[in-house]
Amino acid sequence: MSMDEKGRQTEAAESTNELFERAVRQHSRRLLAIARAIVGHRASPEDVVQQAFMNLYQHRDRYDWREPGGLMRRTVVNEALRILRQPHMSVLPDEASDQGRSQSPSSHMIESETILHVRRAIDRLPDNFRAALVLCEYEKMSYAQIAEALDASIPQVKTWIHRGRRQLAELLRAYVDQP
Amino acid sequence: MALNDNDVELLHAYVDGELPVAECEGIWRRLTIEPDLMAELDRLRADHAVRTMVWTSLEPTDQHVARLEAGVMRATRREDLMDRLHWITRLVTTVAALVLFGFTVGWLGRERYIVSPNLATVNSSSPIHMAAVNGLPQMPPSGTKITVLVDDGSGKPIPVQFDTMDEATRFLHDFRAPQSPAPAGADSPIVPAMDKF
Repeated sequence: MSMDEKGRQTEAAESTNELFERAVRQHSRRLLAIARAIVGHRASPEDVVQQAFMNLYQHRDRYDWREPGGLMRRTVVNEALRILRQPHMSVLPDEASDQGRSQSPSSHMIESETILHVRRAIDRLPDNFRAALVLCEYEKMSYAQIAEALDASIPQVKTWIHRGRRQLAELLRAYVDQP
Repeated sequence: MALNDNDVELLHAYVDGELPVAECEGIWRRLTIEPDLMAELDRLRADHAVRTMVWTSLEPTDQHVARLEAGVMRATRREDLMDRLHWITRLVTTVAALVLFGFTVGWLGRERYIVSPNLATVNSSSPIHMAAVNGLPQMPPSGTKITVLVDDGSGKPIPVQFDTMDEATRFLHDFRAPQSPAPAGADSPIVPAMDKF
């Protein structure tokens, strides 16, 4: 191997690492939210996202890092679902994750309570329903993209989203009907 | 008119922006004449708005993001270090294996090459010559012959072949006997060599 080729390879490796770091900085906030929506309190979202990033980093030369959003979302969703499939999942305490967020308690009390109820209801949905819903409503992904991310067919994704919303409505009916 | 499951699914697709334009026009027409459908669409939109708040509430704080990024960077540096260590280990192992292979080949082949056919004339009384003769295996593999080159006096080597080393050695002694004492430093006409050996 000539020195030029070696130099080019080193440059390529460096640029891949730089692109990876940039992708991490660019997407970690939304990916953490997705992981949190999927795993709820059954695992640490940070661990899920970090593990997903490391899985990608180990095979970083295989991927195109110029448009890494879809790849990262898919990896995080798969990692979150994999962790949820593991037996003996321990429920994490509901950390004071909302601490430090700029919310005035008096004005947002009812809103916060509603959000809490909806979050609990979302946590009770089947994993695939929850993953499809978060990708559809939070990430605004198309059904085709969700199907690709979840390794499912488009009709299956439609069904998951439809049933997820219906189950959510049923779960929240009791809360809504409260006087 | 009561809504069926297909209508609700259609509305879900409409809210998600997944409905083709033609079907959207159909929905718009129906919405103007079906109040139940309109009410369901409003309910879906309200639910959607609440869920959007929920998704937004799941967004991490800056602290969480910074902690994650720092953790990832630490882990990638560790991964790089381990990669380098693995590479060095592989290199050292490969070099060691090659050296070992070289020594093994040399060790196994040492007897075969100790008497490489040297057709140059050497002094018959020199240690090289005697070592060459003594070092030859007594029983060459079947089908091989031992060739002794004899100088007929004109400077041309004449090959004489033997089946065993004993015969070759005996011939060498017999051939040398009448010539002895050889003048010191004189070149011997006799050089042992082996064919296919």
